[in-house]
Amino acid sequence: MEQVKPMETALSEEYVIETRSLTKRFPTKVAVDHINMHVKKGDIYGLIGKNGAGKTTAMKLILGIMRPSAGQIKLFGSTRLFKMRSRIGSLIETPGFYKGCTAFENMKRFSIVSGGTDQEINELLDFVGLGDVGKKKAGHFSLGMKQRLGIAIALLGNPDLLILDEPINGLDPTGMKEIRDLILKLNREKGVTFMISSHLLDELGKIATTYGIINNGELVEEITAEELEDRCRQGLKIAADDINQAEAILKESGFTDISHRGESLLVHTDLTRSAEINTLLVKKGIAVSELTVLNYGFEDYFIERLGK
Amino acid sequence: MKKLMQLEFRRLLRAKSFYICLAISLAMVLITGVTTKVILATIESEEALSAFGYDVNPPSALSTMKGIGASSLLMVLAAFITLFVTEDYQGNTIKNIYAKGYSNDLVFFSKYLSTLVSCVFIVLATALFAFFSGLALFGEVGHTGHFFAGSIVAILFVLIAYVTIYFMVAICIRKVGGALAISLVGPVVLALILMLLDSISSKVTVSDYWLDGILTNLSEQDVSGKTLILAFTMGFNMLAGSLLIGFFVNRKKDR
Repeated sequence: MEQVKPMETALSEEYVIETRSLTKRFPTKVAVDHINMHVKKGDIYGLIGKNGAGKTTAMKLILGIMRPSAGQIKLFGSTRLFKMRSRIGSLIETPGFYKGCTAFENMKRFSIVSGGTDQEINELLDFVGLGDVGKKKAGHFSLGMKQRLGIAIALLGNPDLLILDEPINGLDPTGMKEIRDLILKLNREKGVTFMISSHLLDELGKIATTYGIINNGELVEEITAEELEDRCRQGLKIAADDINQAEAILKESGFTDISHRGESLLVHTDLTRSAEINTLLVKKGIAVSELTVLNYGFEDYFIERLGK
Repeated sequence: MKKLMQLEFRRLLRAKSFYICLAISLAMVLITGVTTKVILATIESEEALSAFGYDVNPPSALSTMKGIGASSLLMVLAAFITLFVTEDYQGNTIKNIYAKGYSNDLVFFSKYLSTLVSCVFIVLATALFAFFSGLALFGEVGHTGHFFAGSIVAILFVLIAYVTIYFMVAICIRKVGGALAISLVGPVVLALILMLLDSISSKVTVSDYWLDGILTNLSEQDVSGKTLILAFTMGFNMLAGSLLIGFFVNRKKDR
């Protein structure tokens, strides 16, 4: 397993969120196990993991909804967490709202603690598509409408950081696109940093700039979108009896873009050159047992990292 | 804290449970008064009058007012406090508040203060209504008796102690069903235990030392100094004890 990059002795100030050895133990399991997380200003940080991997717990710890068993958290470069949390908007698990109240009244109540005028509330409701719900009680909203209201509540007070747990759950394709566009707009135009968890990898792949892969409470890897793209490129997978020798031969012959993928090599090249590569290796005495075109996708990468 | 209090009071003023409980409390006072009036009208013999204690202390505006503590008001308060306090936990709205950087302690005190203010309002409104409905039904203000002002303050103080106990139960349990069951059934079970202890002990009436017994004694026309001291001592103990238990349990709990 790849190690998470080591922390400096003191928590750095360049990150909006930084955790060191953050841990949450329950009586029967360790939900979050010594995670060192780094979310830079302006990032759209996608937190990926299976159900029960610890994504929501990690978010709750950052937000102060749960108390950590051990470890440190720094927000906006500061350890004054109560103060810094006022700059965060969040949507964790199911949206929390007063079922017997209208969307406006819900927003009005939370605006007392989050900030926001009546005009801003109306603008936000319009923005998430709830501007015309009138007197309808939030408890009677559809799943998608509830999710939109949760997002609108999270956006109250113009937060610098938004932590959204499965924000597109229950939304139809149009709704998903709207929320995706909203996230990108806020990120690009207002510089809002996001931490988003989702099991819809394709959706996350359209917006995330950095990924944190979490499995069994451990942060397996933090990787930028560029690095991920690089690792997910199409290539020729070569399995041979002597991988190192094969790599050396290929490099001598001008194939420089080569990476290791487990016990195999991955050559990122023109795929029509597979016959040429095979001939080259066989002539040099390498026994090639597999030579296949690998369409190594986003999903495949995460499944591999999550140990499936 | 100021913002949290604003949120709590906005929630309170728009809570149906607040107005329903207030209405029930007033209705119960009226029903009790009318029932007393009907009983009084049907009593013919001196013996029966004596059995109800109406020969010495005939019902009046003041006796109706002092009697609210020993009435169903406590049940109404228990129901209202449970519904009001657990709403944020049941509906998961509390996480929106904690996520904005408010501590457990601030949330605890803002909820306690708003609960206290709302319950004192219900008690005072009920007391005022009891006075005027008593006056309308029985036509007499009545006698103040010994330690009248002291006993009124003591009744309010003991009721505040009860409010704190119900608040402690609600903030610790956080689920409306469980908290309501404990707040409503608990006092009944406790009353039975005290009754059992009273029957066992021949020297001391144990139930006189519990808040229920104290409220009953305070509702009498003439209140002794001992009853007043007991009311303030026990009231303070229960209030402080419940507040501390609630505070530390809430502080220890995950949000």
